[in-house]
Amino acid sequence: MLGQYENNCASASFLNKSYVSASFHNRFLLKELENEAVSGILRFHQNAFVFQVSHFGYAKYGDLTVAGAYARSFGKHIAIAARFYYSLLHAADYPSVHSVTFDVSLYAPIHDKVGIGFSVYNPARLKYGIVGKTMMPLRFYFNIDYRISKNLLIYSQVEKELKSRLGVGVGAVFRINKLFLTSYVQFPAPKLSIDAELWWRHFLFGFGCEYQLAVGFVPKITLHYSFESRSK
Amino acid sequence: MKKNILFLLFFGNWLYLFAQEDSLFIFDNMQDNLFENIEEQVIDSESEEVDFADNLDFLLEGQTQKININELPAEVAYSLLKFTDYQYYQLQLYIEIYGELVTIYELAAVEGFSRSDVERIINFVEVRPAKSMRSVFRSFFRRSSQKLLLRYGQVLEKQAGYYSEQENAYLGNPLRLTFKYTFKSGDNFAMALSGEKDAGEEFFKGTQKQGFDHYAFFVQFKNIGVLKNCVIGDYNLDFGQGLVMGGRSMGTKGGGAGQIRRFASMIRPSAPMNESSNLRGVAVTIGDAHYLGTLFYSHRFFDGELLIDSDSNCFFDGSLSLSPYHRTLNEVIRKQSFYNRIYGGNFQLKRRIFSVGATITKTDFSAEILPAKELYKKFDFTGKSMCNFGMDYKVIVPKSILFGEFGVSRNGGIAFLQGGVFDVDPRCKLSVLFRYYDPKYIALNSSAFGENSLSHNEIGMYVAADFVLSRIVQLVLNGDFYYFPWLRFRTDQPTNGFDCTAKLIFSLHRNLQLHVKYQYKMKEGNYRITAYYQTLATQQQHKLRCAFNYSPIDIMKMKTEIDFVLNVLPSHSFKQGILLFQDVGVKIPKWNFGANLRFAFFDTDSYDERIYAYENDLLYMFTINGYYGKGVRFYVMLDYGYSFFDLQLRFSQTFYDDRSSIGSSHELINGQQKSEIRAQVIFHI
Repeated sequence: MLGQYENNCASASFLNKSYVSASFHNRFLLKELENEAVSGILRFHQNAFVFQVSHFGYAKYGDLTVAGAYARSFGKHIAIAARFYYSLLHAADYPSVHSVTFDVSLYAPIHDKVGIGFSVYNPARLKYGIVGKTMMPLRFYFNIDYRISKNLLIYSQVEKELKSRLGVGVGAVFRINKLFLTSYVQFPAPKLSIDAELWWRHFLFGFGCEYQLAVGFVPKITLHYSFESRSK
Repeated sequence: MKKNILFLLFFGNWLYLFAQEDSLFIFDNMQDNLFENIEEQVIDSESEEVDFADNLDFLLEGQTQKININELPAEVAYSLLKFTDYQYYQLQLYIEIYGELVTIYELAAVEGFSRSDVERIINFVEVRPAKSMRSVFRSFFRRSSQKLLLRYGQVLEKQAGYYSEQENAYLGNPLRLTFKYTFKSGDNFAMALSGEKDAGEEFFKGTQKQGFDHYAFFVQFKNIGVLKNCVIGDYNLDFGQGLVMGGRSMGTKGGGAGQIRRFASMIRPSAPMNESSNLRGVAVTIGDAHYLGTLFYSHRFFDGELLIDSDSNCFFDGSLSLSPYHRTLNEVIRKQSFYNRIYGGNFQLKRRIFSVGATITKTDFSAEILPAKELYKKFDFTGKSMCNFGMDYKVIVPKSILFGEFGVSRNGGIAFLQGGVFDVDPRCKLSVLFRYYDPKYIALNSSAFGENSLSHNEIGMYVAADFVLSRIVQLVLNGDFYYFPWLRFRTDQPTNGFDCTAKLIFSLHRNLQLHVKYQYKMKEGNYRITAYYQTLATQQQHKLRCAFNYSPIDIMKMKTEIDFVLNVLPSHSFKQGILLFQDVGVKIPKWNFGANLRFAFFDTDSYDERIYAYENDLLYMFTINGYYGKGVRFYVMLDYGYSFFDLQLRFSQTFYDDRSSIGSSHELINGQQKSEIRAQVIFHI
């Protein structure tokens, strides 16, 4: 997984470099709830291709997801993307379930300070096992962000899943030279996360922790590599 | 590189903002401006689907070309351009004294207009010489325009009423078909014919051998000497503030401070594509600029089951309503079983700064309306006839307008309202309206300002204020205190109510607008404590709406809206509802092509927390959908224009996650989704 805002793939088309990333997080400090992911963004002209492979769970139960996305920007103010997922749900002694779905996203940087984006995951209401009876989650995300100054940016995200209540979150990003600090809080299911990331040459090292009320801590670690040399 | 670093950190769309350029501005066209007005009012009134063909035809006549400020109709000025009475009066006065405007910027020199007013309307108006009113017969057909509209609609899932084994099943197929033909020649002559077949009704066979279930038509002559307006066929009447006779025109709660006054449009021809409460007959207005006299006669049928006594006298026991549906045998049997005749007149004296009017109407029914059994209907209309008389006035005093109407019904009931709109400052407008409608007052065609659909059993005070707080912030406030002196449906005592609204409009950027609206409603109603005992309890409702309107590129408009409703029940428990939707609209003028898309999530605890939201629909259809339950809804609408026709297609689907069937009785669908398709073609001849 690339980060907490990976839900809007359209914004990838505004990058001007390509990256590969690896990440790991552990939900509530339980070894059965680990998530490992590798991903890559191949960016050229106004196009971006995104590849992701992730696995959640452990040997006896898990979900392997492979995703590929295409994003394209039209001028400086609009970008759209479609991402296709293949999911393999495996559980010991049960047959594996193969599923496919997709999401669509749109991102609109209105001007130099404000950007608005939304995405819908599984809009076609596809089912697990393709012809199964249980519907895969149907989610909607809305993001808005506002750059207050060169070193401070605030953002907000609204998330709604068909079967659960609306979630609203606000966060801020502080930049101190090569160090980036991020804090994010979400309601009504309270969630607080704090992350720190540091650039070193082509690498970006990230460490963070999320605390979800009633269930516990989610530590995470990320590593990104940029293919081009950093410009001044 | 900085933006990439941040982007990578979160894969966040916002990070790109560190290096951005300015974008294009939002162009709000006239239709949007009008719809915004209607939306506020219709959402408050909570009606679901309104056919605005006649209203929009009139108001958007100049959609293809800008409105000429030198010959500006009052209704267009108030509803589209949001002028206040004082501004409109000053504009007419200016034209009368100094002649026609030669540039739109001259408007800033007119008393009551500020620079920001001019900037606000500059996209909609232009300056042209006023047209000569002289009609030349030779140009009757040369200046004419014709339009033929054909519309189709259908729910794709089979509903219970269409199964033949269903008791009292629908006789026809599920297609909904409508047509409307209009012919217009200059400003002097117009005619229209329309027809409608509802889903489930037969078509050219069985009980509907005449084809469509409903036909409407009108022929109109206008501005020919002293004949100001003459309509034969279907029409609406608006006199005064609607206390005696009023259509469902603009001027109600929910709008800004300048929107509380009704604008008496007198006779308005109408050929609606559904069974509405139009009058049908003849209406004529004659007069000059200062004196106007109107006479009208209408003959209108109602559905219902009649009771007949041994002397062959007919009685009707039920509520007077125009049922639009004749799908089953029972509905067909009840069709047009009795009628009423409405006739009367109106006289108006108009001067530059004041006008007074008097209206008298008489309504006769062919069957006697029996008293209702329910106590709360004690003062409802009974008998065979009713007579109403009313007087209205409007006076313009410096920077403000006062208006009012007084009405009396033959049974002794009285009603009056008094209001004022005050242009306190270019940055502040205030309005106040007091109403007193006696429970005994009965006017079957009234629709004055108020909570009730008919103007009776209500006393209230409404105040509204519009403020321009800064260059980017506008504030609209309104509050309404009301009291019902007699019982109402589900209230066994006289009750109070209060509602207030605060709306903030942030114009954050030329292409980004944020609307935040908070609404609070408090009403009293029955509350059942035990199975045998109920009392009166207060029910409160909080509504919050947050809408982002933005336009990243000039061919695209987007809207993200979040609605939240919280009902505080008498037991002090809460119920809530959430609606979240995303609209994307694209219009490519070069290809005459447009598309609109919505994806909506809704999640409400019950029907009482339903949330209404406007939906793009076929031209002339105005749809407010009530979202309730738990599910998702989407629609896509495509619009293509060619030289002589416009084609529109719309597909919508609602998926409910919390139920296995949708609807009830004949409308029941066994399944979790409901899909609807609509198509419309308009030929411009």
